[in-house]
Amino acid sequence: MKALCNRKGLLAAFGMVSGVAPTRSPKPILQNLKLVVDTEDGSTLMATDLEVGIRYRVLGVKVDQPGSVILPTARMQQILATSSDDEIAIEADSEGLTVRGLRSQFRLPAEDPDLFPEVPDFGATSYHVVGAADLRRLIRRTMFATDVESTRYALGGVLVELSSEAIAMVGTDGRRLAKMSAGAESENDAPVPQGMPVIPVKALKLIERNLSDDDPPVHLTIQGTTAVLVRTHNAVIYSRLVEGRFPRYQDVFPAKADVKIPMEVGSLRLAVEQASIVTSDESRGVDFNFAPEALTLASQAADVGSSRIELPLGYEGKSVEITFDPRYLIDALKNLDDASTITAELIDHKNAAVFKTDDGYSYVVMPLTRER
Amino acid sequence: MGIIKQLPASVINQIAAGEVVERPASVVKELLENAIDAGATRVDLSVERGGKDLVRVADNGKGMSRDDLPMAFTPHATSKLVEADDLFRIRTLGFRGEALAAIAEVSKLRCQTRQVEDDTGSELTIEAGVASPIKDCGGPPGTVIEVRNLFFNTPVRRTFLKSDSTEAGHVAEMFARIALAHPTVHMTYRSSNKVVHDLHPVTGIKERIAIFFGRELADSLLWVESRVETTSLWGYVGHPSQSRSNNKSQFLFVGGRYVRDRSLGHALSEAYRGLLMVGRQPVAFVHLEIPPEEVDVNVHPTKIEVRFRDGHRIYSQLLSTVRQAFLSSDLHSRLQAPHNPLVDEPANEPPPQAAFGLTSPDPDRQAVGSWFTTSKPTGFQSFPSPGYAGGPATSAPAWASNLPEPPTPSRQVAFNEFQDEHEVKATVVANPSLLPSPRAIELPGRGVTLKAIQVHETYLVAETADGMVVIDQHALHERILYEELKARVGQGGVESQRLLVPEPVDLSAPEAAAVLERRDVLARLGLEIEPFGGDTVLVSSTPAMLRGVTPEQLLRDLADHFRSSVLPPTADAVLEDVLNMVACKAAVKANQRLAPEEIASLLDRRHLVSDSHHCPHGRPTALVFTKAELEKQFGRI
Repeated sequence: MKALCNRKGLLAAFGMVSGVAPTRSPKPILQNLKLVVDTEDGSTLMATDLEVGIRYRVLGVKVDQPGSVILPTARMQQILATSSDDEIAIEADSEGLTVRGLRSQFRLPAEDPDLFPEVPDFGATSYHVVGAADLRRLIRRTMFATDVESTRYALGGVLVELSSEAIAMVGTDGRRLAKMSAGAESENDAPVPQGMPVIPVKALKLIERNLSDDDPPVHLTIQGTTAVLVRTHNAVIYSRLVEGRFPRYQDVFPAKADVKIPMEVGSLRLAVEQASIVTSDESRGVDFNFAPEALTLASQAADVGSSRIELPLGYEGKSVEITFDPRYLIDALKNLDDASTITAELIDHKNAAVFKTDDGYSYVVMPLTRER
Repeated sequence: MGIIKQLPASVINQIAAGEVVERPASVVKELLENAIDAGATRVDLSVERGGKDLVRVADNGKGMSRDDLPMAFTPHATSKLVEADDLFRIRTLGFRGEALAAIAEVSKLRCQTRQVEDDTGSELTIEAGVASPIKDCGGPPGTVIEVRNLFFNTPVRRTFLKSDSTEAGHVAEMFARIALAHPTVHMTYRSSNKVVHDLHPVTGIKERIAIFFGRELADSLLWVESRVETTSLWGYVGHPSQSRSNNKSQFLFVGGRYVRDRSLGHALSEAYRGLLMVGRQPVAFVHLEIPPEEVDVNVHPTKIEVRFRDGHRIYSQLLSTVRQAFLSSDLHSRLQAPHNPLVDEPANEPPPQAAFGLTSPDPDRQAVGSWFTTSKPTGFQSFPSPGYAGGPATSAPAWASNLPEPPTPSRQVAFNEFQDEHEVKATVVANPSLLPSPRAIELPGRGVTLKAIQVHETYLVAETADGMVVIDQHALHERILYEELKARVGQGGVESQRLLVPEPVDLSAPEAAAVLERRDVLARLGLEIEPFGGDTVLVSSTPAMLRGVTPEQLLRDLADHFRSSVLPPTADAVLEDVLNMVACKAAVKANQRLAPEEIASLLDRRHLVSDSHHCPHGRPTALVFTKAELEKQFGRI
């Protein structure tokens, strides 16, 4: 294998891909990246930890001799980052790997590229199509609510629900739940996936990093009940699904709520952030008093102090007092557009509260109760 | 003719022997107790081959008359009991009247006895239950009983005996139990013609503890005593640095009798909760003196178990007494520096204490130096007044007058006239101006500024008034956090985070029962549970402060806690468990560099902690290296 690579292009690819390679693995070859150069199919940089895999298209590679090479992640990244050359020559033979710049040359041991596990490619012909900006928003607004520690349920990821015209993602840690829906299209009558596919957080982060809002639409397919494949503009990302059961989240939404209070996201977030200043780990509750004309937030912690914040409301109805862990609200609010409107749907101080936006986002939070 | 027959007396005795006489040590126990019941002031025990060949007990008690002698070896004949009601006011060690008969049935026994007023003694020989005629014999007043060839007529039984040394070990253990229960009796123990112990009568059991368990243990003992109504309790408990892997070093004496009692054993471990590492057992020598009506000793043939009329009260008394002793004592672990042979040389010379003629052999051991300087005097305030130590007013059996004398608290630490000079030299932190002034020593620790350095990013070394202290930063911080949390939670309610989806937790049947029984207590801590069929418990809310702990883990830990405690746990005890978990997660870890300000703040807050000696898990938080010990190690004294 012999090729001349654009240094910046390869470095960018390294930045995207290297996070997938495990720093320690019982299978040491996984700690490296694999570069495949080909005159026809283009060049691909790939990494996998066998749970998650990525194939990233590298641009600006002039191929002398097609083939593949194993690149040691950390050293190669340093070489690329410290070099000032525009192009770097990579040449591999059975003896090792030579990296050559204009005035530098490195000789590195090379492992057999055939030993590197195959990173699955996007082979499906029928798949779902989601806008890149939509998918980013779906991930950002649900991923934070997950709980990777959970042993009983598969909460270490986000549940994906796909239909021919919509996609929804649901993340929960058992105390709050975030659900986001958006429109989607189906290519070649993509089937509705079996079971409840849950994409792990690690893969979601990787997908999110590979997306930018003006990218072309993203292709997504669920392979049986075990894996998900996502094709973005530059990369194909593979991930095994989280094994286990996702709770029946539909039951979490209260059947009816009497009280509906619309609020502006930005001002609510600031009020909650202020109220959370005087909470502590042992006393973290903030009392929300939704009353006509104003929402009052009050917090009190034994050795921290107390606070009282008022937020004017355009609400006329009965008062509801409820206590929340403010962090749960902030988590959700900071992923929303400050100028948008969020509507709180409440029943009483013991039942779940739902916050909804008009762009398909629902966030359910269980209140705190306190022995007084 | 029917097949059900009355057994011959000898068979009955052999069956009884199976219960009472299990091994030579059982013979030793019965004979020693008889000697003490006979009012002996000196008892000599000798055994051959672990007691298999010979057990000989000679006492100087009141002896028996010639007429009584054969009766003593008749089953169910005793001088210690007259009517059935006497069973409930037993003041002697024995009373069943079956031991001697049983022993005589399975051995070759010879008994020589003489009463003081008689001119000649009487001698009776019994072989396998068959007595020879009584002969005259000479000898001092008292009784000598020789038991030879135990189990010679029950060969099967004999094969069950262990090796000579094992049996000798059992005999020694039995001897120790009785010697500890009766310190005023001069007791000797010879095994295979070698004197193992020659115990002169003493007034306190501490000397005997030192002989049996070593000086180091005896020196670390803490005196405990209390009296509730008619029940008196006194004795020594071990410093938490002295722990054992089993409960064999827990000696509980009820009415001068060594007993084993699960609930009192539990009271002890409860008292040490948080002071010992998990799995370690405390050391204790505790005498309980209780009116005979309040305790039933007729439960077990060898009387190793007793029943208390009001076991609960005694449980609480033991627990609170020991706890109280800890609260008023200094429990810092003392640093055990390895002895350097070179340094040992001078240390083997007569200790300087002797040279200065101090009564207490090593006061610095008892009055350990620490930054809790005030605890030195308070630690001994609970000592009984001499009048009280003379014995309780209730009808006390003879042995009860053997109350150990309260150790005299010696505050004379300054036996070293070179002290001042050394103090500066031995200072770890080379800043003499920071030496606590004598005035500061009188004040509680909070007034004293400690200057400390961090070593290995894990330990803090600080100078104290009379030595230095090495502190485990994680353990101390954890303890401080725990106390702060406790105070904070005490002020306000506990927040509870409800779950969106109640989480089912599968437990074992006893675990599930244990937690469901305490639903109310748990609910007040924010942990709401309900039964979910079978052994599954549904958790619908969890304490908000425990974010990182899964409901399953929490519930299991609590179930373990409930099951291991005898008494129904209070809400406080459960809360304590929960707080322990929080504190451990929040405390600074080992290998964490602390800024000087952080160290200062950590040390400044140590007084907030009511028991700063140990972290909630029972590991010590600090090791004290007294100046005296430093000087000893460096061969200065």
